[in-house]
Amino acid sequence: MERKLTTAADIIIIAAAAAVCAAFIIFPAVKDSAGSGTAVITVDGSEIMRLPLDKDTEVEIDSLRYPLTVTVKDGRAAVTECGCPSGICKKTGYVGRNGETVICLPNRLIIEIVSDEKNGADLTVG
Amino acid sequence: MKTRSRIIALSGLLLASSLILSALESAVFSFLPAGIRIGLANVPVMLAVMVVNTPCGLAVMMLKCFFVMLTRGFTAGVMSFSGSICAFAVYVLLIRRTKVSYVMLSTASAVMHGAGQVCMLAVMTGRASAFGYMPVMVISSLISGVFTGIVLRYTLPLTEKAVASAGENNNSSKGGR
Repeated sequence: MERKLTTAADIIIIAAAAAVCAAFIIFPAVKDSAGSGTAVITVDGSEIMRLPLDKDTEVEIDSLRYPLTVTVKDGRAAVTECGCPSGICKKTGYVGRNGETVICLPNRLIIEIVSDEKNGADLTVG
Repeated sequence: MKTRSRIIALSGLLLASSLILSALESAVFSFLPAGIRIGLANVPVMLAVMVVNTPCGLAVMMLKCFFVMLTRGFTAGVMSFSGSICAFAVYVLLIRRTKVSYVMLSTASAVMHGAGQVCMLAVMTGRASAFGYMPVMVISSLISGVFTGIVLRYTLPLTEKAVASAGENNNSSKGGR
């Protein structure tokens, strides 16, 4: 076996990559508050609905391949019911910060939070 | 000595191992968020490329993805394929052209697997916000890649030995005649 299990170079590269990613996760550009945005719902890339986060609502979307229900509560949005085979969308839970998303892939649906503030962060990662 | 029937049998075993590992891994680690996985199912693919040849590894990989599509739906199958093909491409490049370590081989494959899936996620949803998942995916891929690299290194001699001793058994029975 000519290959080694690991070398010092590996550890350095992996640690550096992990540090860069961790930086993207830990430090969003600007601190912003939940509850001041809009949940933009898109299917196949085109917008179908906008839900303001300051009003608690429950919306059933039946026109999809797998009908689902979106709930807005306490300034955050989530997929609460979904007939899709995956269930990851429900598992994601509530999102409220600018740029956060809930994705239901079988439906090609994304709920993306857009902040109303002009100087809010452009994107949240992680 | 690699006869065709032996290659087919070995490929079948590796594919079965891959599918079982994939099922076990998602059952045991069901608490992990979407798309994050240990990636043990990729070890048989990597072994196939090392112990047999690249086309064999590619076949095992494609059949694995096809199985995902059959059992978990078209979307899951496409996601699996997009990740696996990126991982496989990088893996073959590294294994044939360089002498990087097992950990690096496996980690590079794992990261490319995750990156490929995030890109496909962006394509399928049509929104760039899908890329927001990239840092989480890369970090978890780095960790799982290191782990599967270690698994690879220690299962490789076992696989080679199993193939070799299967050959010896055949030869000795012929010699007895």
